[in-house]
Parts: sequence; structure tokens; C-alpha cells
Amino acid sequence: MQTQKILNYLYGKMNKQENIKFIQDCKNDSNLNNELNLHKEVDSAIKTEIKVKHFKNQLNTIHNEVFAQKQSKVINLQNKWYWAAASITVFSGTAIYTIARQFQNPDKLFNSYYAVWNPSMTTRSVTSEIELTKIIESFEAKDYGLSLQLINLLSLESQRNPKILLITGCSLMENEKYTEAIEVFDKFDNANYTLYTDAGNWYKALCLLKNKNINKAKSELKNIVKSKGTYSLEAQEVLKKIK
Amino acid sequence: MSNIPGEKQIKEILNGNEKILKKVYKKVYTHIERYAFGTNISQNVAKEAVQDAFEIFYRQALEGNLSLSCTLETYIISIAKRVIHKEERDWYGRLKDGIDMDDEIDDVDEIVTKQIQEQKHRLFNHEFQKLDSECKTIISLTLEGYSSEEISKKMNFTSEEYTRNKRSKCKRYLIEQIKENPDYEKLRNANTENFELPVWENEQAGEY
Repeated sequence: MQTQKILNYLYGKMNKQENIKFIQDCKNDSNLNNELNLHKEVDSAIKTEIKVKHFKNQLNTIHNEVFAQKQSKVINLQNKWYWAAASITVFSGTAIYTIARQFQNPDKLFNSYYAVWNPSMTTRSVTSEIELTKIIESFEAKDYGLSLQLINLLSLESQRNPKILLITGCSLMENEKYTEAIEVFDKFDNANYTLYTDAGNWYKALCLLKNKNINKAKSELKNIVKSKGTYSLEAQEVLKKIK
Repeated sequence: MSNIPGEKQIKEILNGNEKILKKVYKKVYTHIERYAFGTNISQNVAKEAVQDAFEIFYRQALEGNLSLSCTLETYIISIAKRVIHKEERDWYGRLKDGIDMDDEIDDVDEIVTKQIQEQKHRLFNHEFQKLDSECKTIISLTLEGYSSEEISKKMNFTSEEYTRNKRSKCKRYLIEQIKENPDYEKLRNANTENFELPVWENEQAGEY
């Protein structure tokens, strides 16, 4: 009862008369007054943390907008750490929102964590192959159907190239063909780690989540966490929130 | 020298002006990135140091007692360099060596009072984090200014009354937990004469 009164006072739910009476009660009752002050202090502390959290999110977004893009122009493809930076670019916005809101439903989790893979930072400097360039261009233009068509024209050996596998899987995801995407991501050879392995495993876990295959998704996420790779933090967050 | 005096920049940043924040961040990060390159420090460390420095600055600015004798960029750069050089800081932005970044504050009582306040806030947030996610969300949304009606809709609650009752229960429970924490009693009775940083019950690295 006392708490309710204090909350009504603090959050503006009292009318003028109730307000005056409450202030008078506080003057006459030191316990009530102390209780009110404690509530105020607690609110202030939590409010500060909320603001700081938002501020940190803002900083991350700015950093990724300004500097991750700048770094991508001179990215060294052999350096795994650049992948960490890239992953932050792709996922930070959605991940931060998810942390703040604590979603638990698989669909919502998927929507919160999924962002289409961004190949632009890695491909332009990698290859001069015309086919591959066309595939990347269509993928960047969000013409995922065309990407898939062009990939089908490649030799089987080329289709198993990790980068192509990743583009194939992500194109299928964009076309909401999650089961087929899982089959593609399954082709990643974990024993033969490449720059694309982490992303492949992460997207596979998201597909499993989307398909509501929770146990397999969990197992996949646990492996990602264990690997301490690029997406281990995100995987850990999803694991905590998964129903 | 920045065209906008530090005071105005701080005000704008506190009001959420992203353009100003971006401008300051760019300058600070670019400087620290170069500094890191020259001192063989990784970009990740540089980024973390810059973001920690901004957080320290922001907490100080929220407290409202930040007055600078240099540009805001220089101030944050100096904090970032101290962070890089592992001058430990506590979570609430005050450096552990007892020297506040704001040289203007030299009143010992004031510093101790601030320390007591900061420790209390840590404890409050620690107890808040222990609440279940529904309670945390309902309290957070309330403090972010959402009405009971909006919270009911967001959280799919059946009625505003339910939301209010739930909020009341959560808040009461939080206050009870705070009062039951033995460190709260120490902090409540602490004053500038007798205050020593409490040895936390169940202390673990980073718990508070």
C-alpha cells in the first residue's frame, strides 16, 4: 500500500489533493519520507544506467558507421580480427536492441539478430573473376534470385568455395528458404577453418532458430560460443534468451 | 580548438545530439588510433579505451559537475590514454588513484560523499539486475517515461491495473532486496568521517 502510494506520487498518478496530503504525510512520518527518498535514489541510479546503456549503443553505432567502413577499404582478408569488426557492423544495431528488450521468442530472436551478410568489404579486393563479381553485385543489389541463378552456373567445385557457400546460404535465407540454407551451411568444413566458417555457423544457427528447431539451434550456438569465434558473444546472448 | 565551447557540446551530447557526438568521437578516435599505432597497441584496445573514456565522461556529465579547462576532445583523449595505460578506474568513472579527472574538485568531503553515492548506485543496480526480466523491463520502461497504458500494450498485459500492481510488486521487492543487502546498511550509515570502501558481501570480480 505504501509502495503504491509512493509510486503514484513519483510517477504523477495523484491528483492535486492527494499530492498535498502525501507531502504532508511525509513531513509527519520520517519512515515514509525515508522510503520515498530511497525510491528516488534507486530510480535515479537505474535511470543513469539506462542512459549510459543508450549512450554506449550510440557510440558503437557511430564507431561502426564511421570507422568500420573506413577499415573495410583496407581490410586484410587473412586477419580474423577484421571479421570481428565486420560482424559488429552487421549485427550491432539489432543485437543492442535485443539486449535492451530481452526477447525470448525464436522468431523475434531471429529477427533481432539476423542481418544480411555484407560481402562488399571483402570481395572487391579479392577477386577479378567476372562471375564472382557479378554474383556479388547481384547480392549487394539484393537480387538474391539472380545471385542463386549465377551460382548455379558455376562449376560444382566453385560452388563449394566457402565464400560462395556463404552467399548461397544467405541468398536462400533472404528468400526465406531456411531449410535449404541449412543444407548449404552444413557443407562448411569446420575442420578446415576459413574466414567464412564463423559466419556460416552463425547463420545456420539462426536458420535453425527460425525453423523452431530449438534443440539443434542451441547445440549449434553452444559450439559457436565454445569456438570463441567472431559470433560467440551474440551466440551467448541468444542462448540466454532462447525459450 | 573546437568551434563549440565544451559546455555547449556537453549539453548537446546530454540531449542526444548525435551529430555533435559523432564529431567529437571522430576526433578522439582518430587521435587515439594514431597514438595506438605509434605505441603498438591493437585497434581493439584503442576502441575499448575510447569507448570507456566516453563512458567516464558521460557519467561525469550526467552528474552535472563537469567543467573543463581544455577542449572536450582533449579531455576525453586524456582519459582514453589513462585507460590504455591501465590506470584502473572504477565502474562509475572515478579513477581509483583518487584523483578525479575534474581538477576543479579538490574538496575531500565532496569526493567522499560522491564515493558513497556511487557505491550506493552500484548496489542499487546490482540488485536491479537480479530481478526477473519482466520486472526489469517494467521498471525500465516506467523510468524511460512510458505510461502504464503503453507498458501494458508493449508487454501484452491484460490491463493497466495489472501493470500498476505488477510494477508495485517489483519495486517493493527491489527495495526489500536492497534493504536486506548488508552493504546497504554500511553505506546508509556512512559519512565523510568514517567512510571506507566497503568489502562487499559475496564479492566477486566485477559483481558490483
